[in-house]
This record gives sequence, structure tokens and C-alpha cells, in this order.
Amino acid sequence: MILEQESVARPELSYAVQGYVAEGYGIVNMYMSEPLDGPAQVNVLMRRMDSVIRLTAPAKEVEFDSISGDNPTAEIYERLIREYNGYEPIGIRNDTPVTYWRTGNPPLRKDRDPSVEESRVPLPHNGIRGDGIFEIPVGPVHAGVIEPGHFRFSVAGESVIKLNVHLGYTHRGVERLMEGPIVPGKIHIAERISGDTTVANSLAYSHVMEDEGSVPERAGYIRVIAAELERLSSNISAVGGICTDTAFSVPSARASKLHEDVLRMALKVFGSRYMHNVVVPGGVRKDISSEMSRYIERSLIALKLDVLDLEDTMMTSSTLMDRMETTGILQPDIAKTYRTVGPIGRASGMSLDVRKEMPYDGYRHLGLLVPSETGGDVLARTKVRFREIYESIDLIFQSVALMDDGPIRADAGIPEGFRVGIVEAPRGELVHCAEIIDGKVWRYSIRDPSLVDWPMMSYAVPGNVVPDFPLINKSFSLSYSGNDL
Amino acid sequence: MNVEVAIVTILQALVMVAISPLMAGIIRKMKALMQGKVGPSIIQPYRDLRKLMRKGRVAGKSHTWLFSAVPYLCLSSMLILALMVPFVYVEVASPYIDLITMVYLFTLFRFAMVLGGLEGGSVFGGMGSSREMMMSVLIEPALLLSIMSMVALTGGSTGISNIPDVLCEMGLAAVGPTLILATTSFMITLLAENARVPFDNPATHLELTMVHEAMVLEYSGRKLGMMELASQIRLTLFMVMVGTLFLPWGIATEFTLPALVVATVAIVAKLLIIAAVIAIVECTVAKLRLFKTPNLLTISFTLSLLAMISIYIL
Repeated sequence: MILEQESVARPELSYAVQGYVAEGYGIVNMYMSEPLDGPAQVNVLMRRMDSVIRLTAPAKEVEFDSISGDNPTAEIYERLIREYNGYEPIGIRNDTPVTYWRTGNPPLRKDRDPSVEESRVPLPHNGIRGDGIFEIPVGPVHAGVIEPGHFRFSVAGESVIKLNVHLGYTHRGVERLMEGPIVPGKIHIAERISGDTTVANSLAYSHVMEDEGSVPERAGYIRVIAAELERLSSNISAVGGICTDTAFSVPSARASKLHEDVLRMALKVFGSRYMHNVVVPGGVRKDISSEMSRYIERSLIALKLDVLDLEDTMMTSSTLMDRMETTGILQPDIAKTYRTVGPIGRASGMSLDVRKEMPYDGYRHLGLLVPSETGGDVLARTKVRFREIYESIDLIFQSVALMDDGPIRADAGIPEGFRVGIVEAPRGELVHCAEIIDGKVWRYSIRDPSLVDWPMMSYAVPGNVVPDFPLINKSFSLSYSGNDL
Repeated sequence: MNVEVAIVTILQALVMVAISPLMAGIIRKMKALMQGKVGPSIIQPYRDLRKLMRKGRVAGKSHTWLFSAVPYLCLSSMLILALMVPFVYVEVASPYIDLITMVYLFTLFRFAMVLGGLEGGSVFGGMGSSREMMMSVLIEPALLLSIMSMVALTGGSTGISNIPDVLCEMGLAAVGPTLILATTSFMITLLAENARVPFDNPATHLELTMVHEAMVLEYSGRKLGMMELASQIRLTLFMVMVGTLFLPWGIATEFTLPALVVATVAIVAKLLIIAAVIAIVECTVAKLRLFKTPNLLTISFTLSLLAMISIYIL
């Protein structure tokens, strides 16, 4: 990774960002930090292939100039800064709140008074009124065991005209918890940012905390195996969800069996179903014996045959195909404008993949095909996920074959200054940034892929009928807690 | 009308009501086995009903007396129907009621449930009710026409006992396009009317996709138990109707013990086969898009129309 830093004057941030966008860069994170002295800073992190640039611009007292007018990608970050940091973006077009609270006491402000209670305000009406137009509020408590989120549909009959997504119900203050002295226990917080994204988050945290190149080669491959097992489990559970939501019961039961197989494989190989305590700064904690390597290979061959069979059942069922085709289309131009990441972006013509563009750890030595579709509908997303499953299996095979004996953990070095860790999580590009002063984390910012993909629901759902929403939601398969932090 | 018939009618109605949770349990168990799961016990629906009947209830602020009256209306219309459908003996003790009354008692049930969905005061109830009405517009003619083609096949009387009686007399000569088309059409309406896959998903927890479940979402405790029982009776009655009105062979046409025993064995076998058909359909197809359900219902209607025409042109 090549990291550059550039400081610009307040009014010029938007132009600077636009300039880099013209050169092919995309915004991967934007956050507000309050240095020890001087005014607060707006930080914009941009990436093109393996070069990363950090632009900083000072903010005014409690406001800053919005850059989302010219760079729509920045919109979601600005809305978050307004609610989490309490700085008003001047000139922002989208006023919809992203969380359910309205604060006089923003959670990420350094001068936050913890004794002030959060106040809840009623969420606004979608603003669409007329004869026969109704607004359906759904959530935050849903039937079934899923995370909380509030959805507002404006409907005319069964057709959805507008959808607003309101999240923030699982806000735990993770970014704040990551601040302070760097102690080994911090990685456990990172592992629990989003329940099924343990490896990716601990990997991103490790990239922040370790010096580049300090990880031994064998540890790099073990990291790949863990990360790809996690991706397998995530993608299998997502395609299983498609079957469950369309009442396609037999493939749904088989997918949940395969999902369980992957989790048990992780338990056997790494001693933890969701692979906690595997990745640490400087390497990994758990080695893979040669018998274990054979076990992984054997299980993956069986798994691949089962998944091929599952795909065949799904793709040859006319009733299921009818449900998936043309449902929930995310247009490629929208995906490009908002830099949609992960399988959702890849199903809408964006072929962003950190593993390919900025290889880290074992991925430097591995061959990888990034699947891409242009349809943007539920079917395209399902196809992408199936191809990612095969790609993950292939990557694990390659890693097992290439793995030589050697140490699995090395000295990670002492982090200082601005550090960034970018990895490809199952849901897309995951970014961790830290500002470290004298061995203490002053500001830690996390950009979960779900954060940029959630607003895409508002583009994919309108035009579909209400009963298709759960299917579209499941095809996105986003994380609530990763988004809320 | 003699006393034996009255006793048989009441007894078989009680049996039908008593076994309806069992039928729901059997279908659920069959589905679970087909999916490679163990599944709940087949008597689980009884336990669920016992649990619900003992629970207290809560209701939305905006509900009126109608909301509370709906479960009684639904359950009583199903109980009346149970007295009208032949089960083991061809005659039933309700000579004044005919097939048209029967179809509209089912409609009364649906109408009451739609009102209950609207009265609950939640958005999901309203959505479920509107979807149910959209479907019922197409279910009703298909249901009526498939039964009417059987009436036409058996000589034109809408009396309930007439159909099985004549069909049993005709024997295998009755098997022809009319019977096959009408039975197929009726099976599709069975799935639609009882909120099964591919029309609705009885196992879903997704409020936004529900049809039947959305309407009973606001009920709780005993009222929910009554709605559940009524739905289970409706499913059983439809299955029994396939077994006695469309494929009645085996039913007792004379009041003797051997005939009644044979009839009992026959109806049990038929119910199990129909349950297996429902379970297989539910396991092999995905739920339809909401606006594609009219297509399948139109197919059902067309089949029953063809059944009717085939009587006169073949």
C-alpha cells in the first residue's frame, strides 16, 4: 500500500476530491477528527488500486462544507458526521436522518458529556403524500431472529414508491471503545464489531497495528484460509436466505446444513465457529497441521460438490428464477456513483475487490478471479455469490498447497501516526483508520461495507411490490451492527 | 331423515374437527422429512392449541366488538360446514343445505377474516386483507365452477349427497376428462384457499410477504387459537371434499358396518395421499410473486371451465 497525505484549505476540499475522482480514485472513508490543538479536521480517504490518499481540511466551529454536491459518494459519511460528531455539513442535499436519535450530545465528540441522556425523536414522514398513498413503518423489532432496523415504505397499493432506511439501533460506541492505549485486548472488540465478520475486522485491525511486511509468509496463508472460510459461510448463508424467503424449503434446508458444515470446519480447524482469536497483529495465533490441511481439502471437495448441486437446483427452478429475475434492480450507474462495494457492487457492474487491487497477506501470491455481473437484480447477486463461493474454495486450496513451514507470528512493531487497514470483508471493502499519538489511539474510524451499501436499498426497492422487499433485503444481506458501530 | 344418519353426521363432524390439527401436523411432519429435518411431532398442533387456549390476550387500541366477534364467526362457519361434508357415509343430515351454501360458507369465513385483519388496526392486517380479497375474487369462481362441473357430471342436483352417490354408482365409468380437470382445478383452489405455497407461506415470519398470517397477526391467546383451529378445519374439510366429492370411491353408500369400516379406511388413505401431495408441492416450488398468483388461479378457473364444457362436447 502506498499512503500519501495531503492537507488542503477548507473551501478547496471538494475540488481536491473531484480532482482525485477524475484520476480514478474513489472515496473509501470520510470522518471527522478533533486534534489536540486547532480546529476539527475533515478526513477523506481515497483509494485507486493500491495507492491510498488521505485529504484533510479544517472544519469551522460546528460546521463544515459539504462535498457531497459534487461527490455523491460522500453523502452517507456526511450524514453520519452530522449525527455522530455533531458537525453540520453546509449544503448537503439529503436531510434524512440515518439514526433514530437526534442529539445535542454527539457520541463521538471529545467534549461529550456522558451524563446527558440521549433523546429520541419521532422519525420523519417520507414526505410523499397523495390519494391512495400510504406509509408503512416496519421495525425496528422484526419477526424472526434478525437485527433491528426501521424501514419506511411509501406505497401506492402494493408498489413501493420510496423507501427510507433508519438504522442505529445497535450503536455500541465501538469507535470510542477503540480509543486509548494500545493493549492486546483491543482486538477482541474489533472481532465483535459485526458478528459474522470476525476475521475481516480483526485482519483490518491488525493491518492498522502491524508494520507492513512484518507478517511471516505462513501466517499470511493461514489468514487467507480463515478469511475465505468466513466468506464461504457468509455467501452460503446469503443464498440460503434467498430460498428461505421464497418458501423454497428443500434448498433452504440444504443451504443451512452447508452453512453449518462450514462453521464446524472452522471450529475444527481454528477452535472457534466464527474464528475468534485467530488473527493478531504480526501473524496468527493458531497453526494448521498437515493432517488439518488434508482435512480442509477433503471437506472442501465435498462442500463444493454440494454447492454445485444446490446451485443447479436453484437455477433450474422456474418458480425461483421468476422470483429472482428483474427483482430489486440496482442500476450500474447508481452503483458507480455511490461506489457500491462487495457482492452487491459486483452484481451491478462494479468489480472492486481489495484482494485483487491491493493484495495483502497471502493474497499477494494467489490467483483470483473477481466475478462480475451487470444485471443488478437478485439473480445477478445470487450468481455473484455462487461464483465467490467457488473462488473462496479455490483460494483455500491454493493457500494449503503453497503453505511452507515457518513461524506464524512475528514482532508487529510499534504503530505511530496515521495508520490505515483495508481488507475485503465478505460484504466488501472494510476500512479501519487510526490516528495514533504517543502510542495511544486518539481517533479510530471504521468504515464497514454495509455503511455504503445500505443506502442502495433505497434505489433497488422502489418499483417493486412490498412482498418482494424481504427477498431484496436478503439478497443484499447487509450487517446492521457493522453499520451502526 | 332417520336417527342413524343424524348420529353419523354429528359423529363424523366431531371426528373431522378432532383430526384437523392432526392433519396440519402430518403435513408439517412430511415437509420436515422431505427437507431432511426431524420436524415437530405430529401432535404438536394440539399442544399449540392447548397453550393458546390457556393464554390471556391483548388487542390494539382501535379494535371494536367486530374484532372479537370474528373468531367466533370463523369457527362457527367451519363447524357448520363440518356437519355438511360427507365423511364416511354418503348421506348427511342437512337436506336443506346444498353445495352453493357450502361454497358461500367458505366465503363467509374469508370475509370475516378480512374484516378481522382490517379491525386489528395494524398496517400488516390491512395489507393481508387487501391481498386476500384480490385472490378471493379469482378463487371463488374457480371453486364454484369446479364443484358445479361435478354437479353437471352427476345429473344436475346441487344436493351434497348426490355427487358421491351417483359417482359410486357409475364406478370407473365416471373417470374421464371432466373428473380429472375438475379435481386438478379443485386442488389448486385448495392450495390458494388454505394459504399454502405457492400462494402464501404458512411457515413464514416475514410480515411483509404474508397473506393469511397477516390477517391473524393481531390476534392472541384464545382468539388466536380459535382462528388457528378454524383454519385447520378448513384445510381438513377441503381435503375431505377431494376425497368424498371428487374421488368418492370407498364411501359407504349403505348403512352397514362393513361398508362403514371400508369407508373409514378409504378416507384415511385418501387424506394421507392428499397430505403427501400438498407436502410435495410445497417442497418443490418456490412461492409465486404476488402479482403472478392470479395467473395460477386463472389456470385453475380455466381447468374447471374446460371440465364443465367437456361434459357437453365429449
